[in-house]
Amino acid sequence: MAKLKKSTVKFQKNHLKQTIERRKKQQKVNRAFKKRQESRNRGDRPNENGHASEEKTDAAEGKKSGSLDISKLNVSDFLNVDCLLNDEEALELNDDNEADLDILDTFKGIEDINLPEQAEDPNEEESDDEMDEAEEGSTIVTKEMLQEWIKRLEQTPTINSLKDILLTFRAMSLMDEKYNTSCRYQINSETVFMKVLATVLDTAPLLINANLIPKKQGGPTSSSKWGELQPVARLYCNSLLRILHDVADDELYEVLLEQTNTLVSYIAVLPLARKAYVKILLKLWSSPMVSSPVRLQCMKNLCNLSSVPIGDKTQKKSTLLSHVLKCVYITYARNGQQVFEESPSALDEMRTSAVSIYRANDRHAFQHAAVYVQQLTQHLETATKSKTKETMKVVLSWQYLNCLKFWATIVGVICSTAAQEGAKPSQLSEITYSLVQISTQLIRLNPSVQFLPLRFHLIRMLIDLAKVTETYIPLAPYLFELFNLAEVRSKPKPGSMPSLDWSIIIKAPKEYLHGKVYQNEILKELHSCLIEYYACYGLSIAFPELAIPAVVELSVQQQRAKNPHFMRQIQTLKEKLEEQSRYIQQQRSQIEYNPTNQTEALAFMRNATIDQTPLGNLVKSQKRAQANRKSHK
Amino acid sequence: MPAKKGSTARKPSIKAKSGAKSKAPPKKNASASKKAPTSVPAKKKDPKKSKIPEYLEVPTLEDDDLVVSDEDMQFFEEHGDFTGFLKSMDKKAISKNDAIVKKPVARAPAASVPEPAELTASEDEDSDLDGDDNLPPLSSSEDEMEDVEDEEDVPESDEDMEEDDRYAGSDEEQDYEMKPRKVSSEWTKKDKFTKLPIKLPGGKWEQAAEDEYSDDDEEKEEPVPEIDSELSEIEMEDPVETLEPKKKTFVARKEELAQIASTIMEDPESNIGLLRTLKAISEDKNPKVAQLALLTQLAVYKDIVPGYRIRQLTEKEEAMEVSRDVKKVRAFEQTLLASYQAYLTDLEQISKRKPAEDSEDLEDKNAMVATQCMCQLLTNLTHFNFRLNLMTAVIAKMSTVHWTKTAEICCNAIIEVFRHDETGEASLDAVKLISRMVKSKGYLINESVINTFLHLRLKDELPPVADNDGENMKGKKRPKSNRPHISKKQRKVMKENKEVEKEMKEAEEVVTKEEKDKTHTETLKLVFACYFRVLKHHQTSKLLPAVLEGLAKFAHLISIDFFRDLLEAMKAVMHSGANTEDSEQAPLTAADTRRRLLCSITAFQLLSGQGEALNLDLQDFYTEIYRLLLPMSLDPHITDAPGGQDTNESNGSARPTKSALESEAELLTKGLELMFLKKRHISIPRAAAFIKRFSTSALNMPDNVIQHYLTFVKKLLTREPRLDALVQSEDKAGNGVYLPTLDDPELCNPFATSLYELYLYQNHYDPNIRSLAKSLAAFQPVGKIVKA
Repeated sequence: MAKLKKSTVKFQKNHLKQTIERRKKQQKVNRAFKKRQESRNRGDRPNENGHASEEKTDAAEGKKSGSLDISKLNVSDFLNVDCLLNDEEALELNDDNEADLDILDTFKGIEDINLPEQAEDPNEEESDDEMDEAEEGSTIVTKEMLQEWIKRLEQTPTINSLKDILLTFRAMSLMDEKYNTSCRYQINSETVFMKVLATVLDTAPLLINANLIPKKQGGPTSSSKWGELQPVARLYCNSLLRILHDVADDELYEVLLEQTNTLVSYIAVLPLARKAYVKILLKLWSSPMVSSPVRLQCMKNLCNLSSVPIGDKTQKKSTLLSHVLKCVYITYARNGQQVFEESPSALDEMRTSAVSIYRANDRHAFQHAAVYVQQLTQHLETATKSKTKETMKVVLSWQYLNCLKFWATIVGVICSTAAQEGAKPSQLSEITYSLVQISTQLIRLNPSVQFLPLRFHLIRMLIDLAKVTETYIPLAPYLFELFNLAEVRSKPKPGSMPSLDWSIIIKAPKEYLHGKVYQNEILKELHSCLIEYYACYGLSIAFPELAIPAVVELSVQQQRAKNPHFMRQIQTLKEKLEEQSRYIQQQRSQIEYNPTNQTEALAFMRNATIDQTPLGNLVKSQKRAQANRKSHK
Repeated sequence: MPAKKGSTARKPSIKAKSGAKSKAPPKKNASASKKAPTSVPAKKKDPKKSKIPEYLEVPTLEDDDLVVSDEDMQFFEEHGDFTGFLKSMDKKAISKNDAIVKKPVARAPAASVPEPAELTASEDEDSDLDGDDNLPPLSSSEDEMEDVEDEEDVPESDEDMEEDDRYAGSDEEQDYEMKPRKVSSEWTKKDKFTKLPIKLPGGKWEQAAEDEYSDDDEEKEEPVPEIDSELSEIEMEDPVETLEPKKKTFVARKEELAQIASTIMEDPESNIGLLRTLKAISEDKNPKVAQLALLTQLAVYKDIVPGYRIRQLTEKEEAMEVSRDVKKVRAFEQTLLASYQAYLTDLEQISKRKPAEDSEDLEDKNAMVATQCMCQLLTNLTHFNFRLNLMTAVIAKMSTVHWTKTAEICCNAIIEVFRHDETGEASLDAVKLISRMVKSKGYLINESVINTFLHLRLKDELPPVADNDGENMKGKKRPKSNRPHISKKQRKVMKENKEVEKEMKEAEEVVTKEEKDKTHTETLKLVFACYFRVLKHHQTSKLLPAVLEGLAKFAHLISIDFFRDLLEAMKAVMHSGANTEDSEQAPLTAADTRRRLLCSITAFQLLSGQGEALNLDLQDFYTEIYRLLLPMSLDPHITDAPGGQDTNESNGSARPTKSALESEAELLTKGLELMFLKKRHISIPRAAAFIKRFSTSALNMPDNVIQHYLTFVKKLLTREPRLDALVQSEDKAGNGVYLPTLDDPELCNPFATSLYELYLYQNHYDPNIRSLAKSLAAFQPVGKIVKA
């Protein structure tokens, strides 16, 4: 291998990574750009953008006619409107003008800013497919012009030299919109697009930040130059958000999200921008098309945004938190309306990521949880009272279940971490009671066989909740009740239907009822739920007592069971429960138990893990079997 | 008995002759009156002839010919002279025209005189009952008084009636009747009434004052809109298929009905004849019109029926010359009675109609409406004549095994009667009829029928047996010792005063306590007879829960002598399901659990009051509840009201009666309280065993049960400090091992363990339970503090 040239080594050392990244970025952008062009030609847009194009034209034409906005709803409004709001994607970012930048002609910016070196892109020479003719009144930005601007920027690194580039940037962001004629510049080449983007992203924040150094503990508004530079910042932010809204590429998202995160203090003080920002973030967060790191980043950005003071004159410390919490829940609820193959995991991710924002402020979190759980209770009450088809439909739905799961996750995670860290217990633990009440009522509301999947979803949810919060929730009756169902007891109709994926149904299809497949599925679920439930209290000092009725009942059921496989399963479960009982009894005989003294009981088996106990082994083997089954599929 | 049979045989002949000899009355009357005599026997014979398997008729003639109950015999012993009277009766009757014949039949149950109708068993019981309630109430004495007072000439139209009344009279009756009349006539001379009494909102009857006329008008107008609403309701149901002319006639009919109804209500006395028109309309071919007519009649009768029972006039009264007003009133009453009876006959017949075969409904719509009308009449006009006929018809409807909507309505009507029955007489009648019906149906009826007994006003109004006796004893002894001296004169005055007071009371229609108690006792006897028969002979019957519930409710009224037998019977009932259970290993059904719980609770309840004196062993019942605790723990439905699973959804209307029953969880807590908290001496190991097992099984029970459990344990600990060993570990009282699955509270050795469950309760998701458990864990019994 020939020795590398010195320059190459240097390049490798300093710029290679950056360059590769940039190239990749560019390729992505190119692809996205093309995609967008195509879709625009076709007249519609990718799925997740929905009615965006229409709405955008609407927004362009009648901007002042304020359409319904989530953010305008307060809690009581929301309760009336219900959580089924239509997706709103139009960005109302119309407060920036080209004239804003004229200030830069006279503005005396801070100099001596070290701008990152612009690496030469070897791909620049790529052939550009020139696009549409330039429209009247605007100039097409060519590579040469851009080169010149960049050179000027390098020579005099002040914010003033950024003007043209910013103008182009704005034009870029407005490419989709109908009013791009109003722009001074126009772009018709991808290379230029990428170049402008890269330059702006690298330089603009630095320049703006340098000029707007805030006073102590104040937002950017406290800066002396805010009055002058506010339009510039606004224009930049708006353009950035527009681009963020329009792109459709994971890596680009990450870059842009990072960028916006650094600008969060500016966005927070610009009312229109922050509204749009929240919307974009929520859209990305909830979109199943976007990769999970991007979505996590979105949640992080939201957290960040909600922690920044929005600089209202009346309330200095007010933040967006309450509003954001509301929007997060609504977005989640809207997404939870239906569940497809891949959405359970996506929803799961949303739930777990949402925890971080609810953790920010316990008081707010409790308030929101209380209000929305109350709302769920009301729905259930009306359904229980009226029993009409419509009201029943509301509660026996994916959305309802998902909302319950949402709060269960929030409450569970926050309470358990609070306990672990030894902090004072969260107020959210009070929600547990309502959640359990709702779930058990829901189980009893429609005990028909068809809704057994829903019952299992609820039971699993409650088991998880019990596990993390270490509360006792009696669920055994709801499980043992199933042994006596006709569906389980009677001989099933033979049939060879594909097995059901229980994670994506709450109501069994009619053709499965009374079939062998369905019966087997029920038994399987029942078995695993029983194991999970008892394993949950496997280390409790009162486990032997808890297991007594179960053991008695299981031995009865074992003799009645007709399915030999299931009979064996029951047999092992029973034996394990007995073993575990003996084990705990043996352990607890060593300590001096006293019901009056909880510390002993609390300390009991605190250091043991369930894995080493008989029941723990069963859980492990069960999990292994499940994993096997999944991999087979 | 011969008299009875004779009378049955004779009856048709009367009719035949009377039909032949009848004068030709006005056309309208003829049609109406002809119908009446034929329809009446038809009604009475129907029970035998009809082949409706669904409905059980009140005991039939054949039945009672074979088995003559003691009551029957007794009745004939008491009223032996009536039989002779019956024989001599019909000769007079031969000379009657048909209008007259109709009336005695119509009045049959109302009058105390047994009349030559077919005397089926039920009927003679009816008359027996009526004999009791013929104590002259205010209202009837008042109209008699009017007879005596007014001596105006008699209008022609009343002649028939007079004859009729003469026929019905008997010497004995007259003497009896004369007494109160004299007094009341004197008494009422002060304020003479010309108006019918009105019913007050509280259900009492009051004489209308002169100037209340305007109010009356308002009241009378009320039923009209009611009818209209009913009309419109039916109209809504009306399918559009009716053709234009049909619709027109329907509307015309509707208006006609409304017109007639309002005319009658404006002035019932002069427009009473219009009732016949209404009746004629009710025979319309269009079922809708017929329904409307029935409902209209219902509303009209509800409005115009007076607040007293119309009594048959005696011969002497007939003979007496009376004023025109009185005549008018009498005529009104007789016509009213006659048409009311005709209406009832119609209703009964219609209610027996079966639905057309091709229709999907289980019940004929007209029959439904008719039944509803009967129930309404029964509840609203309980005091009026023909109550027994109404009850018989309504109760017959309740005898279906398949619980229908009609049966439900009837049941509710009976319950209503029980609830609002001030005197207890109506209840007694109803209970008599129900128990007969139940018996003859072979106890194959819905339990709701038996559950109606739970609504009897016995529990509060009848004092417990033991207390009653004790008080009486004391009351008799004491006054003798310290009675002040009373002179002869004083005694005389007192006697007179007493008499006056008695009469005053009678006049006020206040039912004395003694009378009430008497009827209540009678009712109670019947109810218990019914209960005991089920307990002894129908142990697997569906009625059992209802019976046990009833026994538990009225336990304090049961005589102590029955206890041993009763307990034995209940033990047998409790174990009756056990054999089958062992062989099949079937889990206890909800009904099983319920039955056992109820048995045990009833047993404890029996022994909780007066039964404490008896030292009976209840070990079996303790063990039974102990055994039940474990399987109950995994039943998610224990807090649900019973019957939820049995009744299908279509019978959603059956709820109200069901909700009166207690859920299993409630029964359980009740049982435990009876076992341990209400008793003076309890066995400590047994209590400990129960606490331990209950805490184990309550782990899986719903919140409210756990709350009950925790409070129960706390109470028990306060009472018995020795039980504290379960909570405190320092002094483990027992050695050995606790046997959690052993089904015997005496042998399971509860003191060898501790209440580990409290740990889970302290971490329960319900904050209330958490705090309760914490307070229980921190509980320090009194004894402990002293020790420390």
